[in-house]
Amino acid sequence: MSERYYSEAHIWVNGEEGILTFGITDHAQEKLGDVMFVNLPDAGDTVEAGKRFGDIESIKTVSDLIAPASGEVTEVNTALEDEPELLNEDPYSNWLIRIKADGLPGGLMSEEEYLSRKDEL
Amino acid sequence: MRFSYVISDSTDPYHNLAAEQELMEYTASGLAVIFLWQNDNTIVVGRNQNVYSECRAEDFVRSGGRIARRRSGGGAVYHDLGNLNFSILSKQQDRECCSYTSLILGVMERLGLKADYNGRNDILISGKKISGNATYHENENICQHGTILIDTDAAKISEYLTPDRSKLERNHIKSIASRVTNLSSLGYDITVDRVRQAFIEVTGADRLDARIDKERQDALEEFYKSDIWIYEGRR
Repeated sequence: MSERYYSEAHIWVNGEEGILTFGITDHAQEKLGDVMFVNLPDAGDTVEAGKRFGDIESIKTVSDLIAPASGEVTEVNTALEDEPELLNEDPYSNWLIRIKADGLPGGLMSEEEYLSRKDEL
Repeated sequence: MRFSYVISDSTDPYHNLAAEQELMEYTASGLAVIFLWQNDNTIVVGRNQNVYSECRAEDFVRSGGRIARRRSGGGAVYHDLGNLNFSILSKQQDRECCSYTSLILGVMERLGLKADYNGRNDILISGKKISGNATYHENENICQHGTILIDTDAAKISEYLTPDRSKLERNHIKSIASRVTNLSSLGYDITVDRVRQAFIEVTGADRLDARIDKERQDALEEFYKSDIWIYEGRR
């Protein structure tokens, strides 16, 4: 498993061989509270860095998911359709989508940097 | 915290939901916008609900009703001119300073009513729910909005909303039937206009002095009106 990087919008990314995986951070799931529903794009759709690629409804609110990188969606974690609560249980193994992209985009944070800044973001 | 208010001049749900979203652009750090609005004869479903599980959609539309989908989560509600909607639009970091709960309790107190917060996001009077609420985030802004039942046609709620069906269907947010009541049926002689005034008095709000961007408002209205959003929940 390659190293995880983090966006200011509380999305984690890791990448292997041209494929990037996105998920929400533990801090994000904690702030959201119980996740009730997740809207994700379909395989074949394109996502754009800095733009919304879906949204999450939790017991408290609805929040947009902002893409940390651009590319075509290759895979969607459909297990979240029936069990959105997996995001609360383990947001790092329960990823959201995978995209085809050439390497990691710039501007992402290391785990250490994210953990020190997460509350101000 | 400073407040500005806007009172909608429309009872069209698509216009109002669009205006609500557009008004978020007029918030600033330390400045919240209070939007007061009413939808006539409308069922509003939550962000992730299935219209057909929530209500007798075809019958309702045939009878002249309108169906809308909001950006926030939660369950389906029925709106008419006996209900007042309010939105508290602010920057996310100001959320605590203008929370739904404290504002609505302040408004009730102003009206001379003893309301309680049940800790589960419901405001109750005499043990019955008179106000519901939900929120959504958009960039650095947050919309906290809710309803206040003043003199809504309760027969319509039970005629068209179908929480029992909602409970059975899969893959959507389920509505939970609540013991709701109107302020009027609790014996209070309170008008929609009086409640609107109370919001303005409690917040000390000034009328928002801004020109709405007509183009953006129209584009948002088209979005809220589109079948793909209302019936499929797709953006």
